[in-house]
Order: sequence, then structure tokens, then C-alpha cells
Amino acid sequence: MISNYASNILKILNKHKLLSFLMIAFVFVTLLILGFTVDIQQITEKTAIKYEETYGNKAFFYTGESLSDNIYYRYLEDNNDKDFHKLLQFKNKLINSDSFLYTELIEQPLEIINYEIPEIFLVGYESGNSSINKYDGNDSYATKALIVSHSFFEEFSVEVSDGNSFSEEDYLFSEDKEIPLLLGSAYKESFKIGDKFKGYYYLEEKTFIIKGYIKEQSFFFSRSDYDFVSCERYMIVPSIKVEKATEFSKILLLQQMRGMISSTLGYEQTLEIYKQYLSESGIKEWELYIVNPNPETYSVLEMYTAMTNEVSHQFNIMVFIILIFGCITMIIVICGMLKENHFIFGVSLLCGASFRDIVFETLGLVGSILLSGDLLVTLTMLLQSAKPVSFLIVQAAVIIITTISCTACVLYLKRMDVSDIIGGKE
Amino acid sequence: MLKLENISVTYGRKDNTFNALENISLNIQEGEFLTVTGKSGCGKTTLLNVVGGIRKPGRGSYFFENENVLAFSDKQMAKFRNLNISFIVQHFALIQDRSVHDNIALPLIYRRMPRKLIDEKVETVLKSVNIDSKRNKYPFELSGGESQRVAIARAIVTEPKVIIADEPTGALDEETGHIIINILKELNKSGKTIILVTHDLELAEEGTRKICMRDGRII
Repeated sequence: MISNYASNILKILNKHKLLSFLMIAFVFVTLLILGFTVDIQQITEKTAIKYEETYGNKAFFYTGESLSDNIYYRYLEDNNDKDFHKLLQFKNKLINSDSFLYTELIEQPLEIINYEIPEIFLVGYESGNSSINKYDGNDSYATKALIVSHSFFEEFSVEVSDGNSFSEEDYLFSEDKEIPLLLGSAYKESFKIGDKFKGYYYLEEKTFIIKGYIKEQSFFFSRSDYDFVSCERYMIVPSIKVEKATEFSKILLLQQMRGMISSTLGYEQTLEIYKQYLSESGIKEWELYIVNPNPETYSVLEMYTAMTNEVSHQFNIMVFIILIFGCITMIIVICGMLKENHFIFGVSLLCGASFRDIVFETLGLVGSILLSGDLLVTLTMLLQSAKPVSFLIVQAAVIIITTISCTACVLYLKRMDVSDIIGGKE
Repeated sequence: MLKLENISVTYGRKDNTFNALENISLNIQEGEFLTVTGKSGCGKTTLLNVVGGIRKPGRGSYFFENENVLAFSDKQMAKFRNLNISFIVQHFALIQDRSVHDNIALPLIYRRMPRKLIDEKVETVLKSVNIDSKRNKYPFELSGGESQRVAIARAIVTEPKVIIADEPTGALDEETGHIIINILKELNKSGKTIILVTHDLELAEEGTRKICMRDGRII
């Protein structure tokens, strides 16, 4: 009997070759869209959760310096180690604070000499003003770079995909040492780990060596853009720790006052703590500042969460629409097929087939179309390494569409009048 | 053998109704060759639908060998049709994408009979109606007479007690029609009960009993 069902189903499919093929293709495309929509939804939700976990209700405040000439030149005097150590003490207080996280984050171009850097990595590329300068007859490429402390990686969950991250040693200054670099993922096609080139680091010519690549989809909060910016086109340079009061280290230390504080305490309270550290370090009167760049900082983060939630919500609507669309199309086409095979079903009933026999054949027809599409989608999703949740949702969708389509078919068959086979209504 | 009492069938709903059968009572004995005549729309085919278990009437009772047919479930009704009733219709009701053999085998398949036995039975009836050379042909490759022979073969392969024939010669020429009627008469002689619906009054005389219908009633 089962072979008879199978034979009948194959005959109907064969009779409607083109329609069957189109339906399988439709099921395939519908389920594929559903699968990938769910996949994207998962990524979006994950991103939303990551944002929430990473930033929560944190706010970012910028720090900087605008020392008066008087203090600045006194600080740079050769015989003035005292002010250097005061400032170093202040910086250490910021770094070791239990109240907030201080990150040295200086967006400063790296001038790379005589080493051709693709234009997309140069400062001003986006505005069409990428700068290639001449220094002492050499080409100098102003490359986008971030000078960062160790906490940068923790603060923005930035990870290294290839090569190694910065070690403790990489943050220590040495005249002869090459300065390690981590490159954004977009650099992968242009450089390889171990490549060396010369460039300027705080106006001193240094040799740089590529140590690794930053993972794709890594972002940092840019003080110039006041937004999250991808790391993919940036070179990441370690912010050197200084201890001895040389002219170079004094300049470096002062530069390192330009950073970012992330805090959950709010601006006023964070400012109080900042001032307290200044006071404790004996530099209360120095023009070192902390600013709340935008009082709506919280809103930005909320906006990101809201955006991802909205996208996720829209994906849910899409999934729902796809399901409804799939069901309706399936029902229309299958009922069309049943209508065309009304005669065969009628003859079968006259020959002693039960209603159940006809229903089984019909359900087999629905199942064979849906399962063929499902099989193709499953294989495609396996090849595309889709997420397990997407597989489950696609299978659930197949079950839902099958159930609804089969119910509609059974209702249709129940209403089918085969009396016309032997003469019709009179 | 077959007893209909006060059978009524109404088509349509609410105000727009039409009584296809009105209080029909009919007894058919085993081995009878009953012919039913009447104008178009008089209720002949509806009567066949009721007798064949295709349509349940709105009112009345129907007993077949003392069993209440109207109390049957769908499954029981299917079994009842498969075991007891066969249909021969004007336009043959053959499935076009199945061979002659497969068309004839259809009721036996629904009887869940083993394939080997099905093949044997089909072969026997093919020979009995003289179309064994056409076993692998498809209905569209057959003439009208051949198609009706296939339909008859399909009707008798289950060895039913009752054969219902609705205008079996209506789509055939006179000569072929006679051949078909002769086959039906032979089947009747072999003990089958035949119910034949026809417009043709001459043909109606071929039966052992004749009834005439008008406006859903037997007159």
C-alpha cells in the first residue's frame, strides 16, 4: 500500500514537474531566507547583549591637558624631575583607580616612511584628503593609528585574531627596541606578521614590527567621532610606560594624559574623584581636565541597544511574514494540485479507496515537497556553518508549514464532491 | 439484497434548495438487471450516488444485505464500496497517466491485495473482456469501446455483487454500445446485480425490471 502511495505521489509530482520544481525551489528559498534571517537575528541579539554586558550604563569621559605656559615650561625644565614624578603619580592613580577604568587612547597618525601604505589606511581617506607628506626627501604616509594602554583591550573587548597581543615588555621603552604594532583586520591583504618599516613615534624615528592582527568586528569609542569606530583600518601602537624623567618621557607622559575614563558613577562624581587624585598628587592647580563630551552619553549607548533591539524585532516580524507567506503559497499551490487531481481522487474513491487513503497521498505530496526543500536548505546551511538555533527554527518552521498545509488539504478533501465523476449534480 | 426507504436528497442551502430525490423507496433483488430511465435532472445519478455509497441522503434508510449502510463510517463505507459495488460511467473514468493494467488493478490495490494476486486477477479479466493485448497501453491510446471494456474490466475485477452503470453506452457508437450491453447482460447472467441508468428507452428494455424517474420520484 505504501508503495502505491509513493507511486501516486511520484505520478502527481511528475505530472506537475515544473510546478513541483518551482515549489521545491520556493520552499528552499523561503526556508533559506528564514534560516539566514534567524542567523542574522542571533548575531544582532548577541551584539546587543555584548554591548549591554560591555558597556551597560557606563559613560565615557575624555581627559586631556591644556597646561599654561608657565607650568608647561617649568615641567619640561631639565632639572625638574619633581613635576614629572607628580604627574606620573597622578597617572598611576588614574590607572589603579577602583572607581573607574582609565584608558590611554590617543588617536594620532603614525608617520610611516618610504613604505607604501594603501590609501584606505591613510588619515583623511574618507574625506578624499589622504596625506602623503615629504620629510627630508622621504615619502611619509600619515596612517591612522591608536596609541593605547593595556586597558584598551579590556575596555572594548578587542582581541587579536592572528599573531600575539602586546606583552608587558611591549609597553616598556627602549631606544634600540622595535615598536610592535597590531593591525586592523583590513590590513591582512597588505601586510604580514613580522613585516618591518620605519616611522615616527612622537617625532622620533623608530622601527615598527607587525606583531598581529585585530579580530574583525572590533570597535573602539572615538573621541573625535564621538561614536564607535571599527578598528579594521587602524594601527594599534602600545603606549609606552615611562619612569625616568627625560625630555622624551616628559612629553610622552603629558601626551598620555589624553585618555578616556569609563565610569558608572556619572560625570559629577567622576570629576570629584579626578580632582581628588590631582590634589593627592600635588598638581591640583594644573590644567588637567576631564570632560563630559556630550551630556547625552548614556543615550548613545541606549540608542545602540534600542537599535539592535529594533533590528531584532524587525527580524522577528520578517520571520513571521515568511512563515505566513510560505503557508499561504503552499496551501494555494497544493490545493491547486489537488483540484487538478480531483478526478484521480474521485476514481480512487469509486474504486474503494478510503478518505484516509486519499489524505495519506495528499500529505505525502505536501511532505515530499517540503522535505525536499528542507533537505536542500539544511545542506546549504551546513555548508554555510549556520548556527544550531537557525537549524532548529527552520525545522520548526517546516513542521508548522507542514501542519498548516496538511490541515488545509484535509479540509479541502473533506469538502471535495466526487459525485460528478458518475454524472454530476442534477 | 438492497433496500432503500424514503430516501431524500436535497442540494443547496436555505432558500435556494433543490430536491434531487424525494421519498424514494426501492428494493433490488440479487441478480436483477434494473434499468432506470428518466429525463436529465430527474435524480437518476443522485440515486446511483446513494446506492454506491458516494453520497449520504438527507433522510431515509439504506440497507444492503440487512446492514445499515448509512451508519457506516468513512472507512467502512470505502470497504463496502470496494467489496460490493463497482461503477461503470459514461466517460469511462480511467486515469490517463496509468496503463490499462494499472487502471484495472486500482480497486485491488485499495483492497490491499498482494501484487502477484493482483496481476493474476487483472490478467484474467483482461482476457474475459478481450483486451489482453492492450494491457500496457494508456487510456488515451484506446478507442471508446476499448476504454469502456477497460472500465468494465475494472468493475468486475473485484467480483462485486452490484455493478452500477451510468449511461455506459452514452459515449459510444451503436455497434460498440450493443457489445457493451451484451457484456453487461452476460455479467447479469453470471449472477451480478446490474443497475443501469440510461436515457435510451430501447436500451432500458434490456433489463429484467425497469423504473422511470421524474422530479426526484419513481413513477
